[in-house]
Amino acid sequence: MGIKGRLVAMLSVVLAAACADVAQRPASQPQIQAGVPQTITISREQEVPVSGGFSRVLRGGTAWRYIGSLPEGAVYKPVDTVFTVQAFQSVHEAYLVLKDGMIQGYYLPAVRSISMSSSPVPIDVTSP
Amino acid sequence: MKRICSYLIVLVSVVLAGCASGPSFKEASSSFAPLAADKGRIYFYRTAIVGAAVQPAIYLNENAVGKATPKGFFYIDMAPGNYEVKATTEAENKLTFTLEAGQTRYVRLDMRMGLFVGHVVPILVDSKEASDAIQETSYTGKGSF
Repeated sequence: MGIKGRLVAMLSVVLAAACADVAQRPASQPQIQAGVPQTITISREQEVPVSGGFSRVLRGGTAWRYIGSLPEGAVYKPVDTVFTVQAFQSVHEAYLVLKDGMIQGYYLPAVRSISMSSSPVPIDVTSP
Repeated sequence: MKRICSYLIVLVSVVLAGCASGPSFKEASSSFAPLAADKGRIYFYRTAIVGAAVQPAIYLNENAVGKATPKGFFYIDMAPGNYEVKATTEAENKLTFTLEAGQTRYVRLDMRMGLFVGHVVPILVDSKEASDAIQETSYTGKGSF
């Protein structure tokens, strides 16, 4: 491998390392609040942005169960399916954080962190 | 032409030698102990043969529990909690998820291209997708913690 090739390889490694994990910050334990819909259903398939320029698809018709609230919004966990957010070298199980009909971010339960959406994303949901 | 065929035979033999050769999922799973009420079960499986020579150890919360064997699967029963799965080749790839009592989780070990060596990337998949794919794999032995 020539010098140019090595430089490109090193740059790739540095860039990959810089984006190795999902941008996140510590979050508190979600607290149950009254008056929040206990289950919601995603109305239609929707691609949503996550940190680092990645995106994920929320499948239409999937049900999500309320597990508590954070200051950033109500936290919903997928029912009978899994949802994850990822960066180059890490994948985290994730729950939706919703407020005022918008996805505010993603709660990462195993590391008790929240990864905020770069900007709130409108989402179509129905609740019984 | 004859030489190319010989190379191909050797190559196929090497790839197949690296694959899991234990009982199929259907055969093996019938003899698995039922899941204890206070535990959850985590299945790890790899369907890809590509990069068969790359079989890194799989770490669960920093403890080696098994290997990413092509066409192979293993499982481990664990207490409910938060878990991190790690596979390291030239890069470290990790997955975090929660496990509840009575819950079964599936971790697919994907093979991705790397700079010099392929990367094994752990992916959390739902039971519907996993229960079909894992049928194609063979048991590599119970994971240990």
